[in-house]
Amino acid sequence: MLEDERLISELHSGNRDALRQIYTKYKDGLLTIAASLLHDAVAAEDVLHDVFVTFAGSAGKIKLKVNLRNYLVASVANRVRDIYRKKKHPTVGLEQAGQISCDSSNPVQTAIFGEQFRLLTDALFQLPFEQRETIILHLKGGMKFREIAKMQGISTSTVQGRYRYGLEKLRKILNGERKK
Amino acid sequence: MNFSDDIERSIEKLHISTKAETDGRILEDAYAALEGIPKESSGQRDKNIWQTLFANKIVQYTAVAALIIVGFAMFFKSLAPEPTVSMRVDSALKKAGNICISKFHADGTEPYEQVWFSQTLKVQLVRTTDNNQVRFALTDIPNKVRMLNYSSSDSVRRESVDEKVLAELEKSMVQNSGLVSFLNSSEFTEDVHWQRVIDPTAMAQVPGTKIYDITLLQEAAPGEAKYRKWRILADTVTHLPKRAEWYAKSELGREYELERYSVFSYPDEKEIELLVQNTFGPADRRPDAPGYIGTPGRN
Repeated sequence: MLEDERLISELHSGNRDALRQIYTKYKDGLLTIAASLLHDAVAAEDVLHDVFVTFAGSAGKIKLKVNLRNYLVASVANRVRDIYRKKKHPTVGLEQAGQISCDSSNPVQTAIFGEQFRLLTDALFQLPFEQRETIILHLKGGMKFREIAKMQGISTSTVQGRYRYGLEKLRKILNGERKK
Repeated sequence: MNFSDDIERSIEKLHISTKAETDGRILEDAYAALEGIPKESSGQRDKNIWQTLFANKIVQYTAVAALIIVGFAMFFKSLAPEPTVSMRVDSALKKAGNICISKFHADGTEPYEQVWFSQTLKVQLVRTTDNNQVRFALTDIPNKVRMLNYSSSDSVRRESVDEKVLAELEKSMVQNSGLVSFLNSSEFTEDVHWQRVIDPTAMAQVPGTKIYDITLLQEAAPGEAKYRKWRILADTVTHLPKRAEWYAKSELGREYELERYSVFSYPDEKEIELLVQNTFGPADRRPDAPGYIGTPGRN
C-alpha cells in the first residue's frame, strides 16, 4: 500500500516509470476482471487500454480516497457497465484472450486448467450481470462487500445476497455441466 | 479435483496475462496521455506550508519581490525556442552517419527509388527503377567523381564533378534526402505545426515510434483545393525517422488517401561500402575520371 502511495506521488510529477510499474503490477488482474465480466477478450483489452490511458491522463488530478487497486478495479467495472449500457459489444470467445495461465508447466494440467477456465467463465456469463459483477469484484478484485455496496449505491446486505445467490446458481450450472 | 465444489477458490485462481504487444500499445498511449497533463506544481502539494508562511507580512513582501524576479526570468527563458519535432528529427539525422531511404508508391511493395547516404564515407548512392531497368548513380566526394551504371549494360559512365558542387553536395547530404524539406516545408505557416497523434494501428505497424501529423490546405490548381496530410513516425528514443507518409484528399469530408511513403533504415558504414564496391568497384579504382586529382590520404 505504501508502495502504491509512493508510485502515485511520483506519477503526480509525470514519472513514466511509476506509470509502468503500476501498469505491470495491476494489468493481468484487471484484464482477468474485464474478461470475466464481458466474456470478450478483445473488449476486455480495450477496457484495460481505456482505463490506463484515462488514469495516466488524469494522473495530476487523482486524489485517492480508496487504495489504488480498488480505484483501478472500480474503473474497470464502471467501464464495463458503460459498455453494457450501450449494448454495443459483440461477444468474442475468451479463447482469444492473451494467455490463460495456471501455475504449472505440465501440459496436461495446463489443458485441464484451460478447460476449467472455459467452463467457469461460460458459467459466470450465464449469471445476471449484477451477480457476476459482485462475485468477480469480491473474489478477483479483492473488494469488500461494503466497498462494492458503496460503488454500486446499494446496501451491503443486497450485495451479500447477490453474492450468495450468484454462487448457488454457478454451482448448479457447473454441476449440470459435469453430469452431461 | 472437482472445482465446482470450491468455486470461490477457482474464481480467485482465474488469471489471464496480457500479450506483449498489448502492453506496448497501452503503455505507449498511456505515456502520451501522461505527457499531455500539466504536472502538479510543488505549490499545490505544499499548500498548507504556504498558507502558514503568508500569514507573515515580511514574507509577503519578500515573496512578491521574488515573484517579480522569477517572472522576468521566466519571460526571458520563454524567448529561447523549445526544440520542435522538426528540430529533434533534424538533429538526430545529422548525427545518424549512414542513412538508407526506400521510397514506395502507395500500393507498391518494391521501392521505386532507394538512396543511401554515408556522412562518414561521404558518398551518395541512388538506385532507381525505370521500365524494368535499374540505374545506379554514385557521387563519391573524396574521389571527386560521379558514376552511372545501368543494369542493361556492363559499362560504367564517369564524370568529374566541380569542387564547388561537391562542397555543396557534402553540406546538403541529408537535405538531399528530401526529408528535411518535408520536415521544414516553406508551405508551413507559423500556425502550422507537427501534432503528436495516437494511432494504435500505425503504432503496431511500426513499433517503438511516436507519430506526428501535419495537415494543410493547398491550392492544387486555381480554385481547386487539395487537403494534404504528412505523417512522420520517429523513434521514441533516438527521434530518428522510421517512416514518412504523404496523404491527400480533394474534399473536406472524405478520408485521406495514402499517395506514397518512405521507409528509413540506418545501415552500417561497411554495408554501404560493400554495396558501392559491388556496383562500381573498389574505391581505389574509381578516381580515373577526367579532372581527377587524387584520393586524399591515399597518395
